Amino acid sequence: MSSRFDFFLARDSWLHRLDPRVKLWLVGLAGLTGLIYKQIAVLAALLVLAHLLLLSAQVPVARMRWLWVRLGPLLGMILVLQPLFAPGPGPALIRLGFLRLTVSGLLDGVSFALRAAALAFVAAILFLTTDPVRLVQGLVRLGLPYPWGLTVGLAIRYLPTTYGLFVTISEAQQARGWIVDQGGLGRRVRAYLPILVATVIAALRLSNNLGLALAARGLGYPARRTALHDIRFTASDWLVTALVGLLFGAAVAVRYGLGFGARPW
Amino acid sequence: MTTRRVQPLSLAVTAVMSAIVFVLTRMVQVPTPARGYIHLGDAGVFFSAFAFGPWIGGLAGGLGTGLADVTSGFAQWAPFSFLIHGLQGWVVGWTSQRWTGIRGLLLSTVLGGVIVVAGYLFAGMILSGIGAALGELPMNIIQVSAGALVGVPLFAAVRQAYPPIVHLGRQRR
Repeated sequence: MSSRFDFFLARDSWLHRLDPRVKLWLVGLAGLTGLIYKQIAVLAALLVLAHLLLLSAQVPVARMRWLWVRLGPLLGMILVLQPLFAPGPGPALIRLGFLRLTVSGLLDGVSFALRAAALAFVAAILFLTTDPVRLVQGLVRLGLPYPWGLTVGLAIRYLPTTYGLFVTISEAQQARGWIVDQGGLGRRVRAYLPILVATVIAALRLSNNLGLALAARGLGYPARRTALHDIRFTASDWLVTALVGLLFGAAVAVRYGLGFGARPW
Repeated sequence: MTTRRVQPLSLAVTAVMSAIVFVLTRMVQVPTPARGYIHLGDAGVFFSAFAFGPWIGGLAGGLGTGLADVTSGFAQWAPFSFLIHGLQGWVVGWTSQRWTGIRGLLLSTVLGGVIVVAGYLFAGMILSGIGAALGELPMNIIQVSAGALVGVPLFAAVRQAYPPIVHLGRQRR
């Protein structure tokens, strides 16, 4: 599958071999840690840890650079807008009309930018190292109803097919003189209608055939379901689960027991 | 594990509509006169909800936009997008089924738009801070308005050009 539709990188690392449920646990608790702390040092440490984990999973530096490039505009916007619109207490360094720039506002901006970057890289640990099929299997084993899991799996499978439909129809319309980048925004947006109508109808025909195929395979009949490649917890899965739980417990105790990490600095 | 009765056609329509929402969110970038881009993911959510009701609309909206976030490198937004667009699809589908005609269409479109704008403002406050969330507000309003501008006529045109849509994905209520 093209990387435009799939974030997963197939490698043979310890993170790739971990059960998807453990990675959900790891990413969930690391994400929560990023949300309960505002301390710049803690968020920076979380960001560095996420990079180290990705490196240990043989994720190429180029892929991490790609993620930084994607995050760049968002981080820039946070660094500029957060201090301007939410300056916080303290004397103004610069005053521009009703806008004030303060040290606490700037630190808040850095803290939120670090949080955004840390959460993006923490989430990348799950999606870069987990095959979508195994991830769906993990979710089903955690209690997601099987039809929902199958829907997610089918949706992922049909991303390139649906995009292919859209591209074919767009190219056919372009050959007939379809132009999108002229006029105001409303006109440009409405220019997509003929393409979208044809794409949606083609996709609906596809879903009709897919529904028939699923029915022919017996979907909907009550039966004990088996899996060709099942997932199982190993000793290392239990070990990582316990370690992550302990670390998160310590992070919560330090944050709420000692009151550390509520401020950016 | 045993399965409850599942309607294969509803499941297939939900999966394919999720893929449509994904393509409209991730791949369709409409150039704006200010040299930026907007996506048409909301048009897909509005269409799914009008055509197939709250459950397919909600699932397709949440799943399609969530997958788009994951593959574009903004995975931290995926849970929020799933909830916000899932709720948008559900409310738009439910409202348009309860109140038919122009009144229902208008009411559901406005409610769907408010959910998206308020939802991303709230999510932005958590992930990026109140300043950045407020800064994104105008763009989110433009984005969801463009989605409605395309989603409503898209539904009308597809229903006219492809009558079997009425039978597709008909679900138990």
